Amino acid sequence: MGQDLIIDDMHVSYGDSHILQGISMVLHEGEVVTLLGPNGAGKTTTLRGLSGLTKATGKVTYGKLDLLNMKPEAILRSGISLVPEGRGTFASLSTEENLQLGGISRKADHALEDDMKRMYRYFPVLEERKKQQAGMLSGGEQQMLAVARALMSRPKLLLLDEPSFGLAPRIIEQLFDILKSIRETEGISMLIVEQNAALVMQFADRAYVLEAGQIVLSGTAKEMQNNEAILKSYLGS
Amino acid sequence: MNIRTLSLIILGIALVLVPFVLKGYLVFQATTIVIYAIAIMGLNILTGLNGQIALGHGAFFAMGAYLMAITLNVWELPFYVGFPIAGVACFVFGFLFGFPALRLEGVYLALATFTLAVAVPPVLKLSFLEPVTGGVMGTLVPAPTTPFGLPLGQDQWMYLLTLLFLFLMYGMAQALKSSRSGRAMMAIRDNPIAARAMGINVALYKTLAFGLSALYAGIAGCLSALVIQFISADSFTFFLSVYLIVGLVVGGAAWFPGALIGGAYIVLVPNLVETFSPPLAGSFYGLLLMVMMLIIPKGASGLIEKFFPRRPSASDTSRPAPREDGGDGPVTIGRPGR
Amino acid sequence: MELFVKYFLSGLATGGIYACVALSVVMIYKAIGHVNFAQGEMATLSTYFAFQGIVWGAPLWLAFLGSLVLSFVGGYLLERLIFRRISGAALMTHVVMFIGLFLLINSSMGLIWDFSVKSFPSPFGQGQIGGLIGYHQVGMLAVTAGALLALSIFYQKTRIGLAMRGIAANPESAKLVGIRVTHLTALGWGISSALGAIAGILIAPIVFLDPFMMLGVIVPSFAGAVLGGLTSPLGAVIGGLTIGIIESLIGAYVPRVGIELKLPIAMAIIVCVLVVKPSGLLGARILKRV
Repeated sequence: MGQDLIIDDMHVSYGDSHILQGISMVLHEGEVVTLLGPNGAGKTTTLRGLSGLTKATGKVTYGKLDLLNMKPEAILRSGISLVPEGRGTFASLSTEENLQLGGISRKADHALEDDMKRMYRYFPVLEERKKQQAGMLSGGEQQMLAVARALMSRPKLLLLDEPSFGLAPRIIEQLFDILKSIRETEGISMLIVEQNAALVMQFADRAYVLEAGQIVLSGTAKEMQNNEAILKSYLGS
Repeated sequence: MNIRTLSLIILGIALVLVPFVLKGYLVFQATTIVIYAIAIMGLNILTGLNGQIALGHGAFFAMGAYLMAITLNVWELPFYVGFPIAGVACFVFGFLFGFPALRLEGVYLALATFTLAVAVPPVLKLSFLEPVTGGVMGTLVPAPTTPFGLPLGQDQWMYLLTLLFLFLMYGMAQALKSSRSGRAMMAIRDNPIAARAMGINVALYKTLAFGLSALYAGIAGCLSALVIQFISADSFTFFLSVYLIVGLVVGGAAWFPGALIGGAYIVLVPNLVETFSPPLAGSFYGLLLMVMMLIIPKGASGLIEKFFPRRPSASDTSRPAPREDGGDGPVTIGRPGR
Repeated sequence: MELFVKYFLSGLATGGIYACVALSVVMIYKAIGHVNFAQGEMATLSTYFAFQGIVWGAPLWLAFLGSLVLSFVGGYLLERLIFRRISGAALMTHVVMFIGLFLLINSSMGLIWDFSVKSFPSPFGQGQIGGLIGYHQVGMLAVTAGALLALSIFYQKTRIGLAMRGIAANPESAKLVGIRVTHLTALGWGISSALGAIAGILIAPIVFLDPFMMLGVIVPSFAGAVLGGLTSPLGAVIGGLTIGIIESLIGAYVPRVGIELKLPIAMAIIVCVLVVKPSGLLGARILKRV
């Protein structure tokens, strides 16, 4: 089973509202899985729970680790990195410092410097902007920075929260091309939350659909693309 | 008549009887308690009703005391003229002082009023103000004599005068609370953004609450000058302001009768503790404040909620809401309201 | 002209102290979003630590170093043991907590060391350079400049410094990249507290040591912090120095009342900045809470 992520009956509540009502999902090592669903279904909450930012109950294992009892920094060290909703830019710091912060949990050595260079190869625009204040970058550049920052910790599983949000179609395409090549060269698993389902379905192996805090559908990307109901609700056609 | 009103009436009668039961120094102490209670009630309006925090009300207390002294000594007017003068002056000054800070986050108001509290004694000691303030030496205040040939001792008369003000100002505070303005103030406390959306002039009501609380402190200051019959800059140190906060926290931020408990606490506890060692009282106050904040989960604001339940509001501030806009432009440090 | 230079330099030296205290206030403000009203009392307590060391016969430098270390550890523990518990609580809770701490430290100092005014030795000795500036003031300038420089290098060039700036810029993302936010927040308190200790030890030979020593320093320091923008470390330093110089020059040139006006001026500056430009010289845009 290797480094599989197994979510078993995960719950999250804020005060009186029961946001996640027992969801179960599996993500095998090397897979790209997408989590679809309308606004307010609990997609972001799922990712926040997995990365330790939000308190969740139930059972989530990653390899042998029990994630729900771990702090965010420990989860990061175990190989899971989140590209958060809204990109989470360290806006007052420079692009370069943002990347350095991405790798701050690692030892400072040559490998770290090599990784910086590798990120600049994936995202050449970041190298051009490396001394600029990150808050001044365009939305697309900030999203690329967020992905690069997350990769700097050398994750084995990348969680992405609506990477296409608010970006121009051309930029979105570019971003997903880079994500594809990252997947191919680095063999990273990904769990992607998206609104733009049509786009992500071309990239993902499998998909889950979350509605009002519960998983209502799951299947391979192919199956889902042929399902009329889903096409209507989520693929916008 | 419900139990609440009945118990308040019984409390009122008991308060009136105090100077006829107690004697001498104890009456003086009871008077001091009532004076502090008036000042603390001002803070109840500011903090309890309106949700603002100010650390410098010792300054308005001092202002009231000095204006009373000036009314009597410099202008040679009767003492009852001193109250409206001090009340109006403190209200106006409070209104003006609060105005700039109120536009900003609460921390700025706390900061500005903190410096106000610290700066009071040095300002009062300014040499060019000496003709009116008496400078470093301070100045004597003649006590008003018992009027209408009433068979009351000086201390009994002063106590009853002070109590009269307590009753008046309690009534005023209660009337405010149930008025439109009071409801506006509470709406601002609970949710300033929603209050503004409802068409409430937020800045106006916040400054109004600040001015009113300054007025309460000023009246308390007037009474204190008459009762102690002497004022000097060193009676109005930073610690006066701090003790008022202590009284506010002990008595409950938004419960007017609690002001009496707060007043009693800050007058009586030092007496008990200082028999052992004077500075111990300060340490004790400090420790008490910290412990109260630690064991009441939401601190002073929890007290408010206890006595004035929140209206249900859309914004649950107990957790940071996930951002929806997705963009995060240039940084803003200093956290949004919680 | 000589008079001007003399008072300018002396104002600069005092301004260095304000800068240190202002910076320690800003550091905590950036970390938790609240102003530590007990910052001055903490610095006074640190000075008493050094004083006690001297009383026990320790060499000056050892007493000072001991005080720095104790202050650092004390600040760290204060956050971890007490203020951690109210993190995220309302402004009111924090203000009351800081006022409680103020009272507790102030009175406890009186309890332990009594309220009498004590003289405090200067490590730089007596004497003047060219009738313009005293040895102690030169020392003050050198030490505060050194401390501020070291701090700036720490923040700009070390990984811990970078991590701390990361927390200030975006606390949640800081958690996501694996920074131990809780540990570093406490570390910030420790540094802030040690910085206050430096200020207290340097100012004590001039104003003498008593439990109220810092009341006259904290207000101008707040003014410096507000002038600088409350969120900017560089702004705090510039603001602190500016306040020191303004205060010294007014003391020199305004007859009779100039010196008495120190605190009122500091207060007036705070109010003016809030009216005219609330974000100060270098501060981030202030979130308006309606």
